[in-house]
Amino acid sequence: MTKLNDKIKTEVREVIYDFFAEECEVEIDEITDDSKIIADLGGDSLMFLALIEIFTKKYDQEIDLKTIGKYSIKHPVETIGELIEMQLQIIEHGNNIINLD
Amino acid sequence: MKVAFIFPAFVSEYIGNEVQILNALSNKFQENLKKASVASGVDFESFHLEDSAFKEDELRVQIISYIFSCSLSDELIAKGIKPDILAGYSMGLYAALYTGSVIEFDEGIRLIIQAFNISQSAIQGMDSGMGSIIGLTKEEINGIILKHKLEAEIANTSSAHSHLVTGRSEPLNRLLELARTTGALHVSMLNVNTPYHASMLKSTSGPFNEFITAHIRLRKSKYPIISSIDQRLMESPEDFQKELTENLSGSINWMASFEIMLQLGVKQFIECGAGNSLKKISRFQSGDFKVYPMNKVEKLLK
Repeated sequence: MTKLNDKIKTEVREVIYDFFAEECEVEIDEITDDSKIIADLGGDSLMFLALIEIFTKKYDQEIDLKTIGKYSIKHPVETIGELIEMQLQIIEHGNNIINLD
Repeated sequence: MKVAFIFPAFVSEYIGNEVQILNALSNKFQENLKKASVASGVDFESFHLEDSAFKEDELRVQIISYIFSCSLSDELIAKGIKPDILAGYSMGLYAALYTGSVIEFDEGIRLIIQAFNISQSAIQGMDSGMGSIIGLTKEEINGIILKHKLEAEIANTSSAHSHLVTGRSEPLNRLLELARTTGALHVSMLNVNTPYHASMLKSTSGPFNEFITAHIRLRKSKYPIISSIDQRLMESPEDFQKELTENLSGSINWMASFEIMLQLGVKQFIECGAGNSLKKISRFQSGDFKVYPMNKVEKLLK
């Protein structure tokens, strides 16, 4: 459980944008919050897993991946903006993310 | 610095410029398309990336993947980049064997066709396939299989939380559904009908072994090849015959193969094939190494 602040919000956004720019070999300027991860950027679900691992290490969290999986059934992620939002929820709530509406 | 050539199984997604990259290096790729056409009786010379016949026909996909892999490894070796070790992911074994000079190019084509035909005979009348589960551990997947008595099994461990599963379609679909509700981040069926690395293909071992004995002259490898099944280092013809016959029905562990190569001191992995699927999987390995898919190989050639 981590209290979100502007620094964390900015870091998460930067890491996600940098990650997709490098992995999908696109210019960072071409990515927006509305970019669709699979359809527009050619991303894949392994990237989602990789990002979760990056952030759990960065914020020293112990997350049961299954809670994120269950949360994502109710809150599917399609765009970069949605992914940023989900990642912030994971950082803020940890395994309690499963209890969110 | 130790270098490993790693060979993908089937191409499911192209980067897009693989043909241009190979054609710019030499005419080897075009020559191999011709050779494959002769060896298989299928026209590979008309191949282009967008042709659905080469995306949806399982056997053609396997053969074209083999052609890309062999062509790139030939180019690299001709330009002085030699491997210290080879590893084939699943059906990438055939290209690894070619690169180690264990088999000739057209022997690889014949092996692929025979393995495919024998596998098809073994599953005649059955709906089967393979799927992907991301976000669960091996133990969690096996727990679901046991609890629900599903006729499905893990085909490959790509990383601690990324697995391929295989078996009959109905239990496989049920496994994917249950995996998702258990908390998998993503599940999907693969575009293959053959349940590779499934015990239901065990009956292929005998006929495939007989075919190899009768028609293929396996040689000693120029470079050690790591087994995807048990991670032993193979060099002898006997090793390869065993690996070939077990590869169709035995479960593989790519994560373990990759870890062994890192322990052996490999720092550069060159993905010899189209696409970049092995680079993607390697994200979950920790260590000081780089994976170069085909579109990054130019950096090494300069």
